Amino acid sequence: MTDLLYVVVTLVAFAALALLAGALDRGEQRSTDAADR
Amino acid sequence: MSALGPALGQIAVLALLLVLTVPLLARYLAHTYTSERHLGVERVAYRVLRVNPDADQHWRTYALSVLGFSLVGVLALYALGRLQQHLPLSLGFGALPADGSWNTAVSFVTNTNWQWYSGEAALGHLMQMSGLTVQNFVSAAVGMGVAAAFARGLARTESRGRVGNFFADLVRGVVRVLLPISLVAACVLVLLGVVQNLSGSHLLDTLTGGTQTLTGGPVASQEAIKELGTNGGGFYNVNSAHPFENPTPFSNLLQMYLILLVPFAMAGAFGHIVRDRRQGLAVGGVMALLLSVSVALVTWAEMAGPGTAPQLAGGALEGKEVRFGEAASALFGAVTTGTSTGAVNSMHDSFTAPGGGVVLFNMMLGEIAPGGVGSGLYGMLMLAILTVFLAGLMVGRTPEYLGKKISQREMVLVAAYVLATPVLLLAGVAVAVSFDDGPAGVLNSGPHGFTEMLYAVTSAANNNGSAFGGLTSGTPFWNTLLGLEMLFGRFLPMLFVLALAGRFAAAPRVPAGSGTLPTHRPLFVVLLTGVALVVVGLTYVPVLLLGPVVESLA
Repeated sequence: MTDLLYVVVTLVAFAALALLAGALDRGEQRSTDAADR
Repeated sequence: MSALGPALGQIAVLALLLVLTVPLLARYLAHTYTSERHLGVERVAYRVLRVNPDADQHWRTYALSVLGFSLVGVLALYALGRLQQHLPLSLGFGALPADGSWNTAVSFVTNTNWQWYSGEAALGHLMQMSGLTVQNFVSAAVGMGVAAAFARGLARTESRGRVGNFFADLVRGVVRVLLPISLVAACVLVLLGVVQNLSGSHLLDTLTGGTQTLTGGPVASQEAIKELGTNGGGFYNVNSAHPFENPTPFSNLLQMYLILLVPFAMAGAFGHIVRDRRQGLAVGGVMALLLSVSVALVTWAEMAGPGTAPQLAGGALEGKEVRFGEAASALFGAVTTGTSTGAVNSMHDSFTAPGGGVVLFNMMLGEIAPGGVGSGLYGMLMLAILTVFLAGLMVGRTPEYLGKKISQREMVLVAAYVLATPVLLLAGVAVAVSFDDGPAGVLNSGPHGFTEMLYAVTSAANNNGSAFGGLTSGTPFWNTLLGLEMLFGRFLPMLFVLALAGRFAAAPRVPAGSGTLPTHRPLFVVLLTGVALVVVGLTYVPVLLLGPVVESLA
């Protein structure tokens, strides 16, 4: 049970970081689009 | 008691060795991270990994590759720790507890190497070699790769956010840089007396009629990459204070040289990659300046610092190996915390209050003097961009760095980078002091006890890994808290760095004009040093006041 907890914590932490990478990329896209306009 | 002459002599020898070899390695590193050719052994690695090393990755793909590779590393190392008793060469050691195994897995994947356990009393050889040492190589290569991607981002123009290939950087860093140097260094360490075998523990009868356990193992091979990759995790509990791990003053000097070699060379490589070597010299100059000040302060504090006992003894001798003395211990302390290494040859808990305060401050500075392999360079470059922006605000200069305009979007990423670690660190300390489980592991009371907790969280959040001592951290509370600090302290800043690299890579180059601040001159070196100290350092003044400053005044 404790093993499962730590595996889940790891997966959630990395998923959060991956989501942040995606959010930063979307921010970049919006910024670039605004500059192009 | 160390004399001043030999103390200065070893610093001079170390500096000379670095001056002679860093430029050569810098050129080689730049070639490694920009060459289009692949070695045969690298092609085999790419086939095994099933990746195309010629695919020029967008920064987001690069970042996701870093995260994916590191996630696999954490899960694999966690499984190794939990299944240790079933593995060969386990030496009879049982499984690590769940919280301890997770902490260790995160610690080595993030290049931190915080150790809550005694290596010789908890880990078998397979875990040490296939788990920890492998991560020592690849976690260092990840940091170097991210720094190289950032440098390429600055060097490129309108490349639509593409910063290179993570897997090519990873494999090249290991195959071309870390493995060859580690092999030579391990052989030299064996010649100097460092242990290298697959022996377990031997119980010996001593002359006085007692018994003593001597533990052997693959120490030299782990020691070389431990220092070269600024990892820091020792084979033995007392790390480089153990005579089997660091037997002589010469091996001590070699270890400090290995720690500093790649971080300084990365600064030089940056100059080559952006085709302006003066930029690398400026960045390396700031690193050297900050390190010099730190070495001077810690050496003074340990050789002639305050305190009744040190004054009477002629130096702060407690917690130091007599074969090294205060000077070599102070130098090692400054070097290991100026980088993200975390190896120790003395107990930082026993340093004088100002000495302990300086090594703590080194880590809080973000380990940029010269920092970890790769992380030191990109940390310093983020501060360089901040310096350009601040200088622009003060004197009306155009904020540009190497021909790349610094606009609001770039500054958001730089600000996020600069704030990420302090937020993690201060929040972590607040959590530690707010729950009973935090102070429960502390040996001392008062400001020194607070410093023990502050040092642990600082070490984890900055991916240093050195321990102050005095804190029993092998509990579920501390293992989990420090594990989270290490994980987010490593990868959160990396994401901001890679996002900025992608933005620079996509941007056109603006020709330097009369309003452009030159970033290779002594004025910029002074400005950057000031920004590093003021903007980053001042963030931590309140929390330092509660620990080492109060203790110094007491």
